[in-house]
Amino acid sequence: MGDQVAALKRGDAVAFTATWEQYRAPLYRFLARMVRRREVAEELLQETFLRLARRAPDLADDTDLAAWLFTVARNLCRSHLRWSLLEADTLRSLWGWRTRSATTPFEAAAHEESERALERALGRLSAKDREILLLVGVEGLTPAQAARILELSPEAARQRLSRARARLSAQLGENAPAGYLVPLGQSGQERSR
Amino acid sequence: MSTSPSNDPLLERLEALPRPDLEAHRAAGILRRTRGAFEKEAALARSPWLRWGARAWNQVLEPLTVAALVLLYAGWGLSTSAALLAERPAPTASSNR
Repeated sequence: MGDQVAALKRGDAVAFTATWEQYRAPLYRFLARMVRRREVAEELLQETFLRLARRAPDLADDTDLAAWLFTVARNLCRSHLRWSLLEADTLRSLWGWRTRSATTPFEAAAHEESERALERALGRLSAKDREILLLVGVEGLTPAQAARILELSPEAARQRLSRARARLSAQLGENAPAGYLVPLGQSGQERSR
Repeated sequence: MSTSPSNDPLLERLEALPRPDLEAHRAAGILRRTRGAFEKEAALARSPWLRWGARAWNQVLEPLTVAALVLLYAGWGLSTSAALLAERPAPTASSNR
């Protein structure tokens, strides 16, 4: 990781391409599930990497690249979601007019009904709940990394994850285990082992 | 009851969701544009003076120039409107007949 940051700081284009190959898919999935529109997710993904291009020379030597990129993507997302309140579809739905259904590309691509139900349930959650579940649950970041990205204390991130998980469970019509708390420092990769 | 993620079926279901990627031609387009910007920035970084100049232009001079032009244009618009309104002759009693 340190070598990759050093190479980016030096302006090594091969390192930039390697970073793109490594992070484009997780960032795209995160963005698409957050904004629920493929073309907007692509724009935000491009803006995320443009910011990396512009700020690479100023990165600190100990930068956690995954956390840095997800922080930029998450901030762009929040900005987009704020402005999208003024979009025509949102205004129509506020006035009770008929509006197109907001399905993510992933919902359409899901093969099984249970996957579609999970995508739909994720889509019905608030942006705050969705982002932490996507970061920790889907992309396998550690809760500590998620806390940094979301600008929360580790304890606050753990509680938010816990509440988000319970709300997702409620959306799916399942019973969440009472008092469920995610231990800190455990990543998705560790979980799947 | 406390559950650890290792035996949490909901988080495992999240992790098992489909992991589609960008379409190849779109990915190539974004990489081309962002890599171009990266190489341009890297070239600037090799020359501290050029980089300083580019930053000064992008972050200070360009916004100030745009703001100054907007103010000038708005001022011209207001003064022209005021002049046009002031030159209009007041309606006289004879013109009302």
